[in-house]
Amino acid sequence: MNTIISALKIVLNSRAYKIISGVSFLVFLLLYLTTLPASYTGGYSSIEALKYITPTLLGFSVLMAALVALLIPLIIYLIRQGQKSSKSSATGGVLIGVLAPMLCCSPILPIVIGFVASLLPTLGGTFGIRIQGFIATHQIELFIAASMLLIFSLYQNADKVIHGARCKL
Amino acid sequence: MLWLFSTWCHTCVASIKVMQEKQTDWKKTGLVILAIRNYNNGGYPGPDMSEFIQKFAPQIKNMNNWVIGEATEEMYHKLNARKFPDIYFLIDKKGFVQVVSTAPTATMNKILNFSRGKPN
Repeated sequence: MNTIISALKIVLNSRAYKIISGVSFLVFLLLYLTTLPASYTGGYSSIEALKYITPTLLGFSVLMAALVALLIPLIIYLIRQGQKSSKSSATGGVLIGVLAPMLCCSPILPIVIGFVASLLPTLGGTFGIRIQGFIATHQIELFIAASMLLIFSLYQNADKVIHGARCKL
Repeated sequence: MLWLFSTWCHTCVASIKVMQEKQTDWKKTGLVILAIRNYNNGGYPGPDMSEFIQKFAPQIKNMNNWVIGEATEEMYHKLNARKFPDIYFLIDKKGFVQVVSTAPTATMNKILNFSRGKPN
């Protein structure tokens, strides 16, 4: 936690990074607010989806948007310092958060699985339903996993900001 | 309207609530809704039909334009070959399927237009 706070103090000391963080927060908040309730609209992500936002989904939208808004300035800072940033866990966190509600109860998976099953019949049947059913009944757990990945990525990048590039011996 | 759905699906929960709210429209236009649970709940466990209706749309039990039921295995495979958790068919008075879509909550305009005799 101290590592993250110290790194953020260094990076967000600059006005430019504060603006990047603020803009990222607003953009990702809108993205999450319209995407997280997509499981109630058959995968359609739009302003209409806002009608189905619940306090839990609102909480996760704000949390994940805030984490991404803190991550982006750190990643940009590292790139500008010529260091390699850790983007894979951040990408994983964003993808899980955004894709989970869009895959649940929408025609996307049945169509994809139908196409895959036409090539590999053993993968057909109820495979797609099991995935969708799992996502629908474990959505909160998936959002927690997405948030954990974002926190992990925040820590990884913060560590690099504090300690700089280190050689592996 | 023949609507096949599964009780674990979020779209189905949101849709049955909205469909119940629109009952005044359905009464005016004469839309009959066959709300049928997918065979074996679409292959994933979830609440049974009576529990689902009682929890999310209890009023429809007393509405005479609603028919609630469970799909047979044959019906499910014939009408829902791709295994959508939520799929509906809008069938006209002559028995022709006019619209096939998913998620009534997101595609309500199609159902309203159909029930009012407007083109989709």
